[in-house]
Amino acid sequence: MIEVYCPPPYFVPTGDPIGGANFTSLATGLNFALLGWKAFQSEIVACENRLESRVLSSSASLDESDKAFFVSLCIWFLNMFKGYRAAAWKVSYFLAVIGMACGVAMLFEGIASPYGLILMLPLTMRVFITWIPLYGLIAWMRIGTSIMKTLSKYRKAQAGIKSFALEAGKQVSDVDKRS
Amino acid sequence: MPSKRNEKELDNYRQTVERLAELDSSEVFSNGRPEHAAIIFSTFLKHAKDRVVIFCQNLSREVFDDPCVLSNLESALDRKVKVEILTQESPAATNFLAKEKSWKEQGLPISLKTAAKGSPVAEVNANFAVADGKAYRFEPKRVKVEAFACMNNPEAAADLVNLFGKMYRAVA
Repeated sequence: MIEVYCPPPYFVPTGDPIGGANFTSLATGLNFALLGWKAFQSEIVACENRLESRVLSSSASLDESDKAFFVSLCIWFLNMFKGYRAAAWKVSYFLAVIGMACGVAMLFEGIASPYGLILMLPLTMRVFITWIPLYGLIAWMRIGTSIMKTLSKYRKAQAGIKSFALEAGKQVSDVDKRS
Repeated sequence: MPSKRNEKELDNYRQTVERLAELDSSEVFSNGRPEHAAIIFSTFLKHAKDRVVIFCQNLSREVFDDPCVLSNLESALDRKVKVEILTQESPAATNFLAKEKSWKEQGLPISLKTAAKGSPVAEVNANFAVADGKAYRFEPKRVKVEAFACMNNPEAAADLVNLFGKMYRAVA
């Protein structure tokens, strides 16, 4: 048995597990999940577009040296955001599956249908509220650590050019002198 | 055949590298695929004003037979940009070699040398390229196509150009 949080005023059992009302419940649950999914997708795409245009307009007002760093930082950020979006898709799929599972559960439990929509609401909200900030937080942590890691890796690598040039130069000169 | 997504990624990479070159940025960026290397060489040649030096293993076909690299190299030579190439093994890029021959015949400023097998130059582990004494691409291990590049680091570029000079003179 799947336990679903149901506020008491909306919990209306019919006691008829195969009544038409229960199929409506399944359809309503699924429909609601799909609507949420669609809205979520379009919001993320819009957010990404807003971000992209903000990046371009902001970079135009910076001076040259800052601009380069800012541009590469933003490219990183956009890439990470795309990663976040991919993760968000997974959440929305999860949402749709939950909608279906909930509808099926309601069907078997014999919970009344027109209220399926209302029953779905706290559950859906819970998924949104729990998962989205978590993914956001993970995405920001990944951005931070990836920038720090990459910068330190390049700093070390750039410092390695000098020692490589000296060592290889010495190797070539020594052979020159011997010959 | 590159997929659409792959093409889009390469296009994004090309735009980023172009933008960094236009900004004369000192930001270091990575490249992990032969296509990326081709984009970087192509950008170096497109923006070069004076001299480009390339030290590589064997002028791989994936990079140096790339049409974009060849056309930007031709236009750089037309602008009298001096291009010096030193390879550690016999060059593999056949289209490049054919064009190089004709450019030399036209008196364009390109030169290509190959190190003798077993010589110290042939044993150097890293590969690199420098454009105009400030932009560089450095591949710490030549067996892996994993490198990093920068459009404006005169200090590192000078170290690499000095080394290139020594190696170029050492090769007969």
